[in-house]
Amino acid sequence: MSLRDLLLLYCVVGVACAIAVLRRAPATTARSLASAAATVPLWPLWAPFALASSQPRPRPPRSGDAAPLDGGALARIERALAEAVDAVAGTPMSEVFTRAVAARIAAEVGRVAVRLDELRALERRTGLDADASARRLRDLEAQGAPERAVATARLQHESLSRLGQLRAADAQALEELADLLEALRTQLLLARYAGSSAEGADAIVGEVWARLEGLGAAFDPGPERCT
Amino acid sequence: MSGVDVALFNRILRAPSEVARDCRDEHDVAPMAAHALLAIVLGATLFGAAVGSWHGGAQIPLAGGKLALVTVGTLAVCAPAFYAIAAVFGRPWSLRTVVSLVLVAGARFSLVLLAATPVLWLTVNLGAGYHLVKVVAALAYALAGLTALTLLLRGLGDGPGKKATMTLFIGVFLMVGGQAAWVLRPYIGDPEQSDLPVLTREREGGMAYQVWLSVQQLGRPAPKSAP
Repeated sequence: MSLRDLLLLYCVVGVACAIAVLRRAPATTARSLASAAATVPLWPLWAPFALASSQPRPRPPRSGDAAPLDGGALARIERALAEAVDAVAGTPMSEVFTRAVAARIAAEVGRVAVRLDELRALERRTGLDADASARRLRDLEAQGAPERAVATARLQHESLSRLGQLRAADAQALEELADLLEALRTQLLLARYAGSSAEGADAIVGEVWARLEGLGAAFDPGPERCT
Repeated sequence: MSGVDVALFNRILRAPSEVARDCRDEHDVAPMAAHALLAIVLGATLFGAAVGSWHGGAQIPLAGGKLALVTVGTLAVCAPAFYAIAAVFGRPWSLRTVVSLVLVAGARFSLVLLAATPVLWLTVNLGAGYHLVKVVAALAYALAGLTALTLLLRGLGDGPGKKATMTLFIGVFLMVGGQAAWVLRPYIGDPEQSDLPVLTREREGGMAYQVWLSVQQLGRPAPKSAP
């Protein structure tokens, strides 16, 4: 195959890609025409982008993001609570850890989880992104934008960062609460079958309420809780 | 591309880790690719024009156009190879991810060339000789290549097969780029020739063949002078 044949083949593929770009575009605009024209000579480099969907791909979760709650900490908490209630049934410990206490813990945890899900949904809907706001702030500073614009961008970035930190901390706290409730269930099972003291369980129940207080305080003061 | 976003060029130069991460996540890669292509063409053309200015006249636009063609052509040929190499060594990324990484690395390369263009132009205008201009251009190329390499390294991230992937990337790029540049020479122009051809017409067997011939010559004794 000569160089001329190779160039001809290259152009044929380029024209085919350009036609595909035009057909894929929702409307024939100057932008889509420019994209198609660029595709003819640059198809190996431009076609993967020109032929891709125009919808931006959602940003995947990063290390600073809170872990999703569904099926994780919530399920563990519900299971541990149910097993703890079963463990104390018919024993003196049922006075320490009643079904009503378990229900109140579950209600508090559910309330926090709902608020976290709302924040997550809000972020997805509005595109609130601390990384994007950081980039915007850096760009404004690099361009020498007016101080007022930089201050607004800084405020936006700090607020988003704080919100992200709160979400991450609360999600982490729910995970730790799940661990604690699993420890409580094990302690109650030990007390039931080994006849050991329930002092350990008492301490854990107190710790559970303290954790729940901390979680609720992140959002609002909330009602007075049972101790 | 609705307009040129200078901040994006700034990010490519100043925040390579962030840009590489966005490429891996396929986050806003289409505008990034468009800007990268623009930077590649612009940077290579202006640097090539500065190289061609040593000879002057028609060599200025010719060298500019040829250098842009060499850069874009090399990236177009290398991108699919990079895609395959990355996949073989444990990075089964999408073609868009690989091409966007290659393009932003190419853009970084061309932006550094663009920054070096005034230095080269000044060297030519101060009456530098053929060999000095060649050395200055080669140094600018080496510096640009190193900056592009750092972005690619960040793009590869941590994990097994990083060294092998990078070594093969560099090998493929040097072979393809070297051959493309060889085919489209001259750029500076032979000082002995007043009327430069657009392309060198001698059939010399390509860059790799010439390197092989030179290696063969190394082992042979120097020809004796006639009595």
